[in-house]
Amino acid sequence: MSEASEKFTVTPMERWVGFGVLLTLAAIAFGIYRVQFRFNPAVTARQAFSEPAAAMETIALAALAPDVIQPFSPPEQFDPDTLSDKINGKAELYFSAGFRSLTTQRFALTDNPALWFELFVYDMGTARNAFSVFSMQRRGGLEAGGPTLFAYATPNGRFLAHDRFYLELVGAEASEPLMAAADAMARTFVENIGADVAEVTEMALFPEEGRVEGSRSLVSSDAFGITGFDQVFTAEYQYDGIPVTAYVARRETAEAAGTAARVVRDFYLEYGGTPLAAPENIAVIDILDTIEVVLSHEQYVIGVHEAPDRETALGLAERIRKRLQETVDDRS
Amino acid sequence: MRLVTIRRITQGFFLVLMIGSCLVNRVGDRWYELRGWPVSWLLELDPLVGLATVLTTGSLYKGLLWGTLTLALTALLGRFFCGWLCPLGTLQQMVGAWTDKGRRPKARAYGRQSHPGQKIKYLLLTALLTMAGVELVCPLVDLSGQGGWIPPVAVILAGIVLIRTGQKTPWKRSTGWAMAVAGSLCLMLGNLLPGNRLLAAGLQTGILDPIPLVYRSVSLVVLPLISPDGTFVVVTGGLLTGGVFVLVLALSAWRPRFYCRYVCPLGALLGLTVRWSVWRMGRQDKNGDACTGCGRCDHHCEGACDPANEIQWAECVLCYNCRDDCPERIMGYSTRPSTTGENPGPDLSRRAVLTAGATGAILLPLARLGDPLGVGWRPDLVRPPGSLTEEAFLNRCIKCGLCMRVCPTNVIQPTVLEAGIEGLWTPRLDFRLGSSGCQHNCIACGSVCPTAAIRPLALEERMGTASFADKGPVRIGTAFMDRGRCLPWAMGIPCIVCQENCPVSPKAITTRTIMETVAGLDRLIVQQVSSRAVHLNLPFTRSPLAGGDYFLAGPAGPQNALRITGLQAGWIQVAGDPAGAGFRQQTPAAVVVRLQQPYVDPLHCIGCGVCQHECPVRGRAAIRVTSENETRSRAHALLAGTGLPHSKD
Ligand code: SF4
Ligand code: SF4
Repeated sequence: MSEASEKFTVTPMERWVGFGVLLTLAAIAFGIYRVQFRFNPAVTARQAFSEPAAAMETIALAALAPDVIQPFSPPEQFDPDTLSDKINGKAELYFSAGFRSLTTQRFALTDNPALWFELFVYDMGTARNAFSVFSMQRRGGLEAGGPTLFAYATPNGRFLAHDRFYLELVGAEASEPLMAAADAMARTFVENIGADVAEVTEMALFPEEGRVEGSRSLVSSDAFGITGFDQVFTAEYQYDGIPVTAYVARRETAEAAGTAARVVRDFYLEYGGTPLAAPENIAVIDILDTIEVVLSHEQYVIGVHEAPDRETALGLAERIRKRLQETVDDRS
Repeated sequence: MRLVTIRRITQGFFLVLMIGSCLVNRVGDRWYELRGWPVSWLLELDPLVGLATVLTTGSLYKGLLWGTLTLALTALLGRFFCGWLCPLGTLQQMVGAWTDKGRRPKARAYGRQSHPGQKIKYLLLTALLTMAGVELVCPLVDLSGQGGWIPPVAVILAGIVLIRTGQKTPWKRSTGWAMAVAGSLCLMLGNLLPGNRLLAAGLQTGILDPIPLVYRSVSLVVLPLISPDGTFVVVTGGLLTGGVFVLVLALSAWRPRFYCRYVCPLGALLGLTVRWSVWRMGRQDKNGDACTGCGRCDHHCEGACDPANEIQWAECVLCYNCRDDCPERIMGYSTRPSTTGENPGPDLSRRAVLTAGATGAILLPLARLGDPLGVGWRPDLVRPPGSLTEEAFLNRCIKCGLCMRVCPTNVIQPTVLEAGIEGLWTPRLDFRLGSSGCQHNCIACGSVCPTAAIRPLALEERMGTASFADKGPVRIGTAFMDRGRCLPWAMGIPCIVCQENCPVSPKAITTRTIMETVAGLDRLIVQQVSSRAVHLNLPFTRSPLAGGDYFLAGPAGPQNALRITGLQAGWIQVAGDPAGAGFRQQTPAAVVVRLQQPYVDPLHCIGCGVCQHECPVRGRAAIRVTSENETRSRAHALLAGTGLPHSKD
């Protein structure tokens, strides 16, 4: 500042002008403050996606979103007639498992809209169907875990079955904050639906010891290539590095279960299997140097597939039967 | 409070307003997002934006009326906009003040003396406005158009009348001569060069206009670099955009407000406007004995307008520093002229003005020789949804960068040379650089564009719903498959990423399924068959055969192939019964893959580019959007005449 200004005197006129300018600035600031309440159409258009269309009976997915994300697209619904519009390539798989409807919506991180994921909620009608698509989609070697018993994660996705729903949360890219938001949303979804996996009782019959994490799945039709052997739950076990498959299938009646067990036994015998000595009501078959065991217990068919030896196979089948017996006893 | 302090407060206020406008320009309803903030208000206050678009389009877009307020106040008060409002002026002033600190008073005063080079900005303005307005003379030259030869002849006659009646009034005589010569020229051009391409107008003021320049620089360079919202944004041409900004500021370290003094076309426009202003700065030394000749009034002069002598009024930016510096208090702002005399306007030679005008008039016709708006159009130039036809778009876009900053996926990028020299810094869509394609449900760019180069769209119009259902959605282009790069088409690898990501309903990408034998896995021999697995002489393969798209075909042919579910030590596990499907020891077998080959349906494709963004073929995607079939141009309609819907322009 110049020395002159130190002794500078402000004229009344200048004082008034200065005052006027400051008042104008205040008026501009106030005007801007007022204007910012009249939302730009671009913002209101975006907000429209937060509310599901009134006429559609959608699951209000946006309401489940945690604070860190916001809707990035409107919710969309698909029924069996339109599912192919959304997932052309995989639609058949869902149809065969009893697909009812699909609701999808994209969500982006509020801080960084470049990061988004799309949530797919498949209503499969029953928990069994939901679990069936869940297990058919699952690829091996993936990290198990999530808000439900049946959940797994990939670097950019979360997949889970809960109640009659199968959920996919697929991210635009593998990002930790994005996947954390996806996890939070999945958890809220599960909490909102409430706990209900009781329908899939067979899942609980596979003993934990030796079981490969995340290996339980449901084969909805023609399990092991056996025509008509449907709705079979399987789990992988490892014995000294050798993989063994155990399976459980429930039928309407004990007779039906008995018939199904015989069909399985006959299938192996027909394809060159040799019957081995076995306890009563249990079939033990040697086929191509692997052991098959199959039995029926009440409404259930229990079996062990491609075991390395008779003892391992019988031991595992017996453990499953014991578990089943305990469950039945608990209920009665 | 001293007026200089008030001026600094005002400058700070508008600088914060500008930075804030750029900062909040992100779609969202929180206070630091777009909400209803008037992000383009400062641009609308810029009268050069309004004037130039009026010249190029013949109409004034609503918000730009604010510019007339600026002009009116400037005509009354002087260049208050430059000295008190302009954020680029403020930034330069800050740099200048900072570098001045280390200088001696003499050197400081030297840097603030007027210089003949200050006329350059008026010539630049002349060139830019001629470029914008040259088409206005079209009715005079186009003899085949309305009025035929009457308009030019009328101009010649009016000129002759002026010459005759204005014998003693030099300006009437020169105007008369100018009219007569121009009318004759037009008549001659119209006769000799019918249908000439010499009269092409275009808007290029935005390149140099300080308000778009500062908006563009802050939005495209400063904010992405400091990343206040923690996002990593890709921006093309950063070196050019940022380089210009840095250069402007660096030059003001050498000469204070260098850009304002020598380059700024807005400053020039306002400088011309103040010629007859009511209030003005000047020395009020009635008796001529108060001034001691200390020259301090020159020391901090921002406009380099020589207040110690004959003040260059057109250059004064009302910084008020001279008034503050004068120890005798004789510098002031008043309705009386300066006692040391004043020069109200720039002294420009007629030749220089004519040369500048002619240069401005010829540049665009030269740039358009390649007919970039006609047959030479660039199909990879995809403009944002709602953009006007290319010519109308270029006549409105001021290159401010608002649309690029607001885009939620950052798919809008500034062009460097993709739209030719003329299109520098205009918006184009780059589907690779954005975080996704153009969002189907977003209308942000049109909602913030200050000149309607991108027209504001209603969401219903964008999506083709409600009353726009019969017109269909707004299309910005069409996706084309590059079968030479597409995985299922070119390499036999299953992929339906583009189809799955296509956001429109029904999808614009359909697939046709074929079964193909996998090369190298076509002559296998069955070694052993188990209940649900087949042992083969399988060579090493990288293909993840168990993905669900691979099948094992045996003697019953590919129609009865079994889906492969797993692969372990030479054993291929299959869904189904291999023996039932005819697999026996020593029978031949082959691995076949189910491929879903994508096709684009131009009827449903809106050109959003999500498929291009998601395509796993990195680098040059296997599906790419070009501007064919864009709604804004009938000439770009695909399969013209076959009834593709909704072209309008
Ligand atoms: S004459 Fe005074 S008011 Fe005008 S620019 Fe120079 S210092 Fe500023
Ligand atoms: S995403 Fe790319 S590679 Fe895959 S099908 Fe589409 S175009 Fe081809």
